[in-house]
Amino acid sequence: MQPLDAGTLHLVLQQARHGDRASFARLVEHYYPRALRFALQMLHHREDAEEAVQDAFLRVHDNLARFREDAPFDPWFFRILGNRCRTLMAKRKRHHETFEYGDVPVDAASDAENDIPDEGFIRDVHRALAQLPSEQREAFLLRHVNDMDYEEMTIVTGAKGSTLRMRVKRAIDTLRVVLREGAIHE
Amino acid sequence: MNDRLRSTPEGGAPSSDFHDAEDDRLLRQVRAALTPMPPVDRRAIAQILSAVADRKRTPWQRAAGRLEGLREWWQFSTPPLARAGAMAALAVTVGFVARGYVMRPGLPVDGHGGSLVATQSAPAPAPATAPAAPSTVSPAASPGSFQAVEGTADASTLPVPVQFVLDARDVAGGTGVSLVGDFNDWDVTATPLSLEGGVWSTTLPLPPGRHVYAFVINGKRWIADPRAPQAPDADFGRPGSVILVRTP
Repeated sequence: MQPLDAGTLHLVLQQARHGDRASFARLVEHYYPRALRFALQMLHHREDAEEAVQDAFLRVHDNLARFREDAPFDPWFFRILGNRCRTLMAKRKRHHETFEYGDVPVDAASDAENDIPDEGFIRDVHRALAQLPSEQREAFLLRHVNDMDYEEMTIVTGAKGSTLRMRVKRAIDTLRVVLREGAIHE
Repeated sequence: MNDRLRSTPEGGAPSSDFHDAEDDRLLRQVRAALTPMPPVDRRAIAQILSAVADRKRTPWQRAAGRLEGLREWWQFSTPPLARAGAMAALAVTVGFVARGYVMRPGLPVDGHGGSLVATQSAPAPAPATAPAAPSTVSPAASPGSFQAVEGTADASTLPVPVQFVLDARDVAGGTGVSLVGDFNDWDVTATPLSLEGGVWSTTLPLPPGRHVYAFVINGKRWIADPRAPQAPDADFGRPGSVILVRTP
């Protein structure tokens, strides 16, 4: 898969907006890995993450014609994806079939269904991330993994910049404590 | 992992400053752990593209999709308390409207200083050869329009529209006819009749019960309704007729 530079991406978006299926396919190819990474880190469940990503792309397809050409695409896309993730998390809570990962003890949550890497520090980071409240987790991932600025994050989450800054700060504080405790226990 | 993370000087309590060197190092490590892309199953992408290709949606499905998007936006961007308040207000409004306009049309809605009553358009005047006697009109007899009026909310006192009709041939030389009765304080100017198709007529809401009335020709000559029972207690010797208005 060839990564798309900004100019090509703009062109692809334009053509996809006008119904070109090949361009939409390129768009999906380009965004799928990032979308899956975000959904996995939000949901910690492979099937749920894939479902959220698929739903998000279908919504993007349905609403692409209404997307403003001069607006940045990333925040719009991640807003849709974030909503799908939140909906799935709400469903999980409602049906009590599975738990939001942060609500249960780490050991209980680290079963085979959860897509947590099983190797040293990376595993610790994922488990620490899973303990964050979903708003903090989302803010942290958007800021420090997806490299968004706070203006874009405002579009994605609908929260104010100051709120987002506080969420990111609290997320980092929690991550530091949890990771350090994990290090001591080892 | 001990060599990766140093202990915080304050003994593990979260620092209020997350831009220090330790945080930078921690962030770099966390980012390095989270940034790699997950393995992608090509079949998942193919499935998405296939679903998109099959996407032939009806306008209703498109509208439902947009409503769903709106619902999600509302759910995630509105505080729970505001959502609950809005839902309660919506429920009260729907309940009020359903109770007043759908479930029991024509019956009063208690409270809030007003009541809803049914008033109905009058039937067409009878032909001149067979003028109709005053009669009550049942609310179920014909579709009516609804309007809000001030008053008490008692079904037994709801006004009922009554049509008064007088054949023009009974009004020899009359250029104007009005209706007087106990319902308008025998005011000659209060209820004029209109002439159409050889019939003088008017319709006005009357409370259920017995009423005495008369027609006044040209503002001077009182006559009883020729086709209605005569009133024994006419107004100080003047002729009058009787009508009984039934509760709807």
